[in-house]
Amino acid sequence: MSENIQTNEASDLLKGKYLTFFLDEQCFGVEIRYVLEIIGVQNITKVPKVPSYISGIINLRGKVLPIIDMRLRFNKAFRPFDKKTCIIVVEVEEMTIGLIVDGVDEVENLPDTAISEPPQADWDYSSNFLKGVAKRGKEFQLILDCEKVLKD
Amino acid sequence: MADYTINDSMAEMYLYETNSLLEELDQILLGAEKSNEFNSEEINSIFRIMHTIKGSSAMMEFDKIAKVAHVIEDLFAYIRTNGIDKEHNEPLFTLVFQANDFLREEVEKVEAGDALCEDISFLENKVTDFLNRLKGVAVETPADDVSSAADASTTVNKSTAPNGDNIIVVHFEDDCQMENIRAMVLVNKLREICSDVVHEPAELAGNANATQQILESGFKMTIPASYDLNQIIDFLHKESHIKGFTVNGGELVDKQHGGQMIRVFFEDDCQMENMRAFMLLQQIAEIYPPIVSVPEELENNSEAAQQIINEGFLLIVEDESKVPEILEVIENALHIKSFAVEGGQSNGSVKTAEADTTKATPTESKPAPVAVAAEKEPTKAQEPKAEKSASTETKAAPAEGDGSHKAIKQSLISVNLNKLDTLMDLVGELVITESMVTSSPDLQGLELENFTKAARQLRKLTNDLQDVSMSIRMVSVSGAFQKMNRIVRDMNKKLGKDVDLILIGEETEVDKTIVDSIGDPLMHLVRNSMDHGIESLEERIQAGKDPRGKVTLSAENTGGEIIITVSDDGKGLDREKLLQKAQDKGFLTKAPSEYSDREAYMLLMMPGFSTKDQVTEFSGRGVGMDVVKQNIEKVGGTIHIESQKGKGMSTVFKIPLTLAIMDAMVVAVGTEIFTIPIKVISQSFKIRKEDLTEDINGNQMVMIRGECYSIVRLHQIYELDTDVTDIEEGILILVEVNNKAACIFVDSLLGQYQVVVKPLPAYLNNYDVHSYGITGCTILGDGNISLILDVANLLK
Repeated sequence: MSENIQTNEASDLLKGKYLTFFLDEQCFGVEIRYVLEIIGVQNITKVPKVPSYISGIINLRGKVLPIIDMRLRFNKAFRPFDKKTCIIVVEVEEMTIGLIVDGVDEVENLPDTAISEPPQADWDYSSNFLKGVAKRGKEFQLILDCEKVLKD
Repeated sequence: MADYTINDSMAEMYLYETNSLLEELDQILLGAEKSNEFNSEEINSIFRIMHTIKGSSAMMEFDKIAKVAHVIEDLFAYIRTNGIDKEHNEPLFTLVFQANDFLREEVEKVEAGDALCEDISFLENKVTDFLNRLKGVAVETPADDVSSAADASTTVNKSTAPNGDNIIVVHFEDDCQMENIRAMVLVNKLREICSDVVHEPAELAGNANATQQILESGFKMTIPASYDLNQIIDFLHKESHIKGFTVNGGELVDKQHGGQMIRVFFEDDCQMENMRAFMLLQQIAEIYPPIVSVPEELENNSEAAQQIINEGFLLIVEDESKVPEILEVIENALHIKSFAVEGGQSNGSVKTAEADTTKATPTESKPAPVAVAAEKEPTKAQEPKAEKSASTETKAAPAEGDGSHKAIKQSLISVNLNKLDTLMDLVGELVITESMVTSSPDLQGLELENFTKAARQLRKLTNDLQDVSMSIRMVSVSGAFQKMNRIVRDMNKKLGKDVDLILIGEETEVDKTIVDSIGDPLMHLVRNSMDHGIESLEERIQAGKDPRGKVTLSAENTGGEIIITVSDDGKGLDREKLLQKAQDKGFLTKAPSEYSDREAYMLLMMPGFSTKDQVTEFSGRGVGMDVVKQNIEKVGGTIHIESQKGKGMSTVFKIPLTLAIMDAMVVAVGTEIFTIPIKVISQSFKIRKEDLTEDINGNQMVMIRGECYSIVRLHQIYELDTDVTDIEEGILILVEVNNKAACIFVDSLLGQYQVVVKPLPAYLNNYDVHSYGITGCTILGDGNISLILDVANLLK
């Protein structure tokens, strides 16, 4: 009971906050409640016979995490990792997973009103993974649907 | 949990205890049903179980649960004293099973925090009806009952009154005064259990002659034969100021010799004396069921608490030989200030115990205790042994009483599984860190004698620690297996089938998490086998099979994995029907003829697939098998089905030993590092090109000592980049498992290590990497991850 209250309070506190990151110059946002931490790229062990966007597994302080390369997940070209490349560790449906992104930007407050529904575009693969689209300044920001990213 | 104002740890304890008791009850019932009779031990156990559940439920304020337990307890109390006819067994089993199910459901609700069932009248009525029916039979043959009761009584039945009435002569204690009044009080009390007592002298109050008469010849009571003599004897045992009594002119039952009394005082301010006394009584009842206590009614009786505080908790033990054992239990119980054994009843004995501040047990009870400790001087004179201090006496008493008796100390504890998980994780980390330290590149090329010595010691200790922490988590699968007995029994009844459940390898020990996760899958599969697999009696006879069906559960530890099989000798799977059904549902991804048998059977695991045309109470909704698959995959296991039409089917779970630590060979392929369990490796060797041959498909083979083995190139099957593709540059590892052998080609061997097996992240289960021969992973000394190969799957 008390735990529920706590998590409720916590999620209220985290509501409307998004971690923004870049992929190929494009800005994405992920709800902060999913995010556990951000780590640098480390040695990834390949796992054979899985789709190419699954880069492999890493050892995060004794825990084994699968890693998804978000570029490949969105059918973008692979780019070698550089200094800015990092892994966002998210927890979705009790699974902990690392997402490789080109770089993280900041944590941003976005009220629900600032986010509009994504267009129902069946032809664009990546828009299936979106929860919404927000405008910030001149740029667009795409809000990621974490549950969908993990499912095919 | 908000509905219940209970302490969590108490609730946890309650759930744990009640669940295990209900499980025990199930086992007893199944056993009894098999032999179609209850022996006295079983009846006593059921009584005890219900009694405990009643007590603890009442304490937790689950009144309805307590009430149900109470009616069952009453039922068995009756059966215990009066026995039960065979003809009543059948409805009794059904009834108790029903009650057991009800209790289980309620306990589950408690666990889930749901509201409990409020209306229990249906069950209550059933039990009461049944009890009345039992009693109805008993009333028809009252003479039998009494005579058997009398036979069983402790006194020898020498001569009964001509009309079958029992005559009891009571002698009061010397100097107790006012015998006539005491006799009157006694008769009044006795009327509660036996209304037609005739006594002599008849006129008691205000009759001084009566006092004289009672003093001289005792107080004679005539009790009609229809009353239970034992009950009356029990009653007399409990009454105070009675020196002794005779039954039907038999031997004098001298209470001062015939029974022992133990008076127990609890610590001041320990609270809930009545519940504590109740617990104590429970414990004693386990070794000596006929124990009688004063006050008798303990639960929900706050007056009892006051009485215990003032006068102590009195236990009456008729069988003196049991006294040392009981004393030991009392001694081991908590919150007891003092206790003393008293031969008979005297007012002075209260002072005895009160005067003692430590636990004191006079080594021998004297016929007249005369306040043993309160008047220390005379006691010492009478009894040299009592010179020992009270505390040494405590220890000496049980030893002297019965040398062969061992201490009953509780040596089991229940631990939260989370703590064990944490322990296991820490030990795993420790093993990894240890190898990080000892194989640190900083140490390379240094001569460090002391360091090496210390490191070796550390290695040994971590190994021991590993073994211990692993063994802590291991439990046998028998619990999960035994539960299936009940399902088979119920379904036999409902479906009119005759199926035996055969358990093999019950004692196999597996990790607790595995036992927990196979429970539901086993239940689904057993139900499926019973419902769909095994044919009806007529069909079996027609097919020329043994009309008795068989469902077999087996468990086996092969070293690296646990293999659990559920098989039946039913009609097996019909491949064509299965494929047809799959096609109708649109599950097929290729032409039916292209499906191998194995693939076809795996269709059963698709969500929403059910071959049974009709949905029955037990199965057929097609939700079972995919849940089975999910559960098994959750613990990193695999599942496959074998079947022979008309002969039966079996479902096999292969579950890796989670968090196991094993010896393994670590090998390199390109930049990747793989781990191969040592136990599958026969040898590793280099060969020359000339040793190679090719079969017609171009697959490479190598001949070793007259045997031909195919070569599995890891870099090829896993599509890895490596510079080592020449057979002469790399190394071959000959592996053998399940009678299959092959040579695995890798770049190089990196060494033999102890590795901690970790399951692959659950996310990867979606991609079926298990079937490509990867069973788990391990963290190497440098912090990198290496995949562990499952050679059996790799060779398929």
